[in-house]
Amino acid sequence: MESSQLAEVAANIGDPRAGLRAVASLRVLADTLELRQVEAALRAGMNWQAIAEALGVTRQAVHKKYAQRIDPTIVVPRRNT
Amino acid sequence: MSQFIRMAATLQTLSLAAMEEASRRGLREADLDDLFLALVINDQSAGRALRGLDITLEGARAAVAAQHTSELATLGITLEVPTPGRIVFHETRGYAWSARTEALLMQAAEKKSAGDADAVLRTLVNEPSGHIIDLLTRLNTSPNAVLDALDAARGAPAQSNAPTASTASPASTASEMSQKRPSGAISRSTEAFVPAPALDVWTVLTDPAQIPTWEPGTATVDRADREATVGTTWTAHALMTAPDGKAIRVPPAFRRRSVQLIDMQARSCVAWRFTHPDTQRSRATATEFRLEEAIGGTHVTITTTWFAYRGWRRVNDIFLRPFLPLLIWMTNWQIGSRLSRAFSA
Repeated sequence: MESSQLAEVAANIGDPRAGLRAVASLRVLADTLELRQVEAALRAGMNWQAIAEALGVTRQAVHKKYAQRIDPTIVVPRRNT
Repeated sequence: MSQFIRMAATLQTLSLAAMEEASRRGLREADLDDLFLALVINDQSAGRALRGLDITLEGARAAVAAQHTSELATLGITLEVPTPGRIVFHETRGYAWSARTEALLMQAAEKKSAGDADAVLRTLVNEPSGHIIDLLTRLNTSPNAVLDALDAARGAPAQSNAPTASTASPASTASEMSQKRPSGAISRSTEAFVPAPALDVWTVLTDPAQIPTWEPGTATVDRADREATVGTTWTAHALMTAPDGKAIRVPPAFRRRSVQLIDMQARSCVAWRFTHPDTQRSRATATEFRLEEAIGGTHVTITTTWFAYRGWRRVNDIFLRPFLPLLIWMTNWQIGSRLSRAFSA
């Protein structure tokens, strides 16, 4: 993500209710982006281990979350190759 | 239909539509927004109420996107939310409801009132986060206006909310069909909403080349460019590969199908009959569509008829009979979902 796309992280705390809903929205956005990036990584030949390391989670966690969800046309590299 | 069955059918329909919406937003978990979008194209009073408030699928999708952008802006984050793509639900797996939406659906199912999409929408507009209230405000309406519209739509029959294109009501048609039906045939009707004008829907339904769009088991139709006139028969070929790339096993005798156009009335009715010419082990089926212009799209009544097996296989139906209504409902439901998706993908 380019820094120009992120601007003035002002974190308005004037309306916490709206703020909390916004955080929920941010999580949804993060999920969308994470799936896109995981698919892109697999297409680029990265394996689950490398993806997990980049995301800062365990291989099992990332595999459990995404093994079923990714585009089935992606050829996933085998574990030990 | 019992309340339990009705709720199960409603949840099935809403889940498919909501998860399709989630899939086009690049998500695998359907949230409150997706449930709302599913309700906008719902065939029951909930959908009619929302569409009666001038909420279209396109408008609602735009409002959801704008809502997320504006919520992010309150955090000081200004960025382009990724543009939604096409529906990829059928090519991908691992879908689920978000925890809060699942809880909401359970709550709606427990309501003593009609266990249907009406109950789901009533629960959704009162959901505690305030997200849906904001969304409704963005769509120039409010929870109270939706509840009033629901009360009004509940009593009104589906076909009375717009000028009707057909002269025969679905009820009279169904009885006409049952009178004409040969013995042993069983038919059931299911309602569907398609977010497109009746003429566009009719154009798709009368085009033999478009049969694979709504008929789940058909891949291609030979010589589909021939003019569609009542009585003409085409040869169709079974689908051998699922959308997710997996092979589908179809016995050789069931791979070829004859498809005959058996009824066609301008903008209001079309019916097709399917047979397997290469085997005696199959029953003939017919699918009839009745179209009525409705607010925001077309109300379609899908009637599937399963004719009796030929010869001694007729005995199979004695054992199958208790399950046939459900099997036919599932067939209609699949056809309706595919047809709706053809205009919302």
